[in-house]
Amino acid sequence: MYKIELRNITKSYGGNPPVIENLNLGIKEGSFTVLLGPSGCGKSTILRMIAGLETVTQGDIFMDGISVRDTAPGDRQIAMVFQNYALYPTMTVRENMEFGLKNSKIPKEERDKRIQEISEMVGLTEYLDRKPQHLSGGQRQRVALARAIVKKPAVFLMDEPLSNLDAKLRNQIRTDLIELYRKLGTTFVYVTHDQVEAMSMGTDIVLLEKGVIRQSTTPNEIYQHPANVFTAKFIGSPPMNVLDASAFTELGVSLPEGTRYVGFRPEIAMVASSITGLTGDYVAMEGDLLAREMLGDQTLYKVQTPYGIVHVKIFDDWGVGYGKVTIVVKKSNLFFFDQQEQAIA
Amino acid sequence: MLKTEAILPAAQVRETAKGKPKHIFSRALPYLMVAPSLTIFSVFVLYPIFYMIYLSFFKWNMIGPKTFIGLKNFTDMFADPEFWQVLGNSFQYMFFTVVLSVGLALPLAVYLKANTRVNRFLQGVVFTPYVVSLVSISFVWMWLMDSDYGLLNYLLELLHLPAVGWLNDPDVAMYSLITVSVWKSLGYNAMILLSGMQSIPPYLYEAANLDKSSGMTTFFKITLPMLSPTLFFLTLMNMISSFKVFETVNIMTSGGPMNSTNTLVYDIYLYGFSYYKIGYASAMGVVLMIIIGICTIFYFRSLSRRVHYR
Repeated sequence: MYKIELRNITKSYGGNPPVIENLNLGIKEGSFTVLLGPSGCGKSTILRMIAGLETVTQGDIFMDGISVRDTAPGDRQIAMVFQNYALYPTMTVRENMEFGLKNSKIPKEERDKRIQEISEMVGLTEYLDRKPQHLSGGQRQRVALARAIVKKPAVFLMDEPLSNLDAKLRNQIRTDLIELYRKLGTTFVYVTHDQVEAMSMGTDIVLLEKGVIRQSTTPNEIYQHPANVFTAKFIGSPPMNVLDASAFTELGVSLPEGTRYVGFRPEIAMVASSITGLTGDYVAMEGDLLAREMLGDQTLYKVQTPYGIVHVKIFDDWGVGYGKVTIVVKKSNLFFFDQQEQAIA
Repeated sequence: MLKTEAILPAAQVRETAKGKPKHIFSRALPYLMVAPSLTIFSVFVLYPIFYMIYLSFFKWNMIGPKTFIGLKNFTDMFADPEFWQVLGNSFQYMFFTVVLSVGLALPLAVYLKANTRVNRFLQGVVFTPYVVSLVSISFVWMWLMDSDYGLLNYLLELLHLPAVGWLNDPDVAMYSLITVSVWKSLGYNAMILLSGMQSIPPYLYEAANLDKSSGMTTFFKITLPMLSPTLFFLTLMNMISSFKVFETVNIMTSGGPMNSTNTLVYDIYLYGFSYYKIGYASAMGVVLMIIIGICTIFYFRSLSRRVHYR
């Protein structure tokens, strides 16, 4: 049984056309489900509907099989971490953590015990009597997490909780979140537009575009078997190279029936000044090197081919110079998509 | 290349030669720029203040010669029970006006917060008294409060209640003036509080909602603390303006009956322009200035220390 289930959910604001139409989604108990998508895809709206902060226009939301459509947010057994943390500025860290517990009429000893325990866990013990404005961004983030954990909710909802942090801190808290998830074993629903966060933390990824689920599966599966061109291009950095099928027929690759687009990932391609002795397992295309970005452990190449721009990512840099280059891809690493941009199995 | 090198030192020499007068001019320029406003400020603000303090040490009837009498104006004033009564009246007026006009504005603002068409209309309505001249308001209320043919007593009569001497009963008159003042400033205060409430970020209410906070708890634990800087600002502003009350007193009661509504500014006016005791009036002005000065300093102190959330 799903922990959270959204059935035929439609959401519209006022008389405008719906932002989400007839959406069905199941979130497994104990999963770290990431709602991923570009801005405006409706991922935050879905999260806020689960939280009860947005009403559902049509359809129903179930938690443990029971409809929560008319349940107040405070009674849904959830805790939410907001993008801007939404800490109460007039309260100290302790009061911030205690507020929800007090409202739930949890006795004082239990409150103190939990606050002590959780603040130790996230390393906030010495800041308990400070107000949020006297804390750094990372510390505020931890207060927001602590405030959620201390409630011992059945589900954690997180709305882009890392987007206000700098890159270094983001990586650190990402690891902390994975640890936290493994320690607590509760269901996490996490909203982000960053595919790296989704891939690194999630056990399940729900990729959305314009209110429609494009693919919903594990990180491994979504990377290995993208269901459509959108998914293929959204997951991975740089995105998958997707070219017109005619390019490959020209290069002598036999394509499955109905192939319209052919894709390959930048990281499985190779690039060299010249290549000799290729077997039939490979396809080669020539082009002009437009830009080379040396990133230390990897090098990114941007190549203009007759069929379009192609990105290649190389881990052991061979120091390919500017000028004419050849890109080589193993045929078994190609992805095929039909007219509707759907993957061909 | 060589040519530029040759020119450069010469240019530098010219600059140092010319440097001094230019330097003075560039230093004087900012002062010249602020000079006009500084002049206006000095003539219309600084000079009157210092002249008032100066006059408070003299005995003067505005026509004859000024006689220096040292602190006699002040000692006379502090020995005069009427001064203490006037000061007491001022504090009474200030206290009730502030408590009521801020205290009632808060629930009014909460009520007006819901953004409905009726409320948008009501926001305009409650703000109107603030725009109308206090002199006109005084005349209208004087008519409403007239003990013989006023509307208020007519309504009391309809309810078979005894008539009230709104403006001629010494125990009531002050409260009548306070009513007018509260009526006038209530809408303005409510609008300020309303804008303060609207600037509280909505996600705090969402967080509170998720924290199972009831409406009352949310109001007292989130809205009110977040609004405290605004409330503090309003309280001090209202305190200062209540101390300076004049029009209603002058028009509606002339400080009476039995001096019961005589306040500092009105008393200053009486001493200055009815009794022509300019020195004594100035001494009272100094006292008023000190009281308001304390309020202002207190306000600016707290303003600089004011917490900036987020």
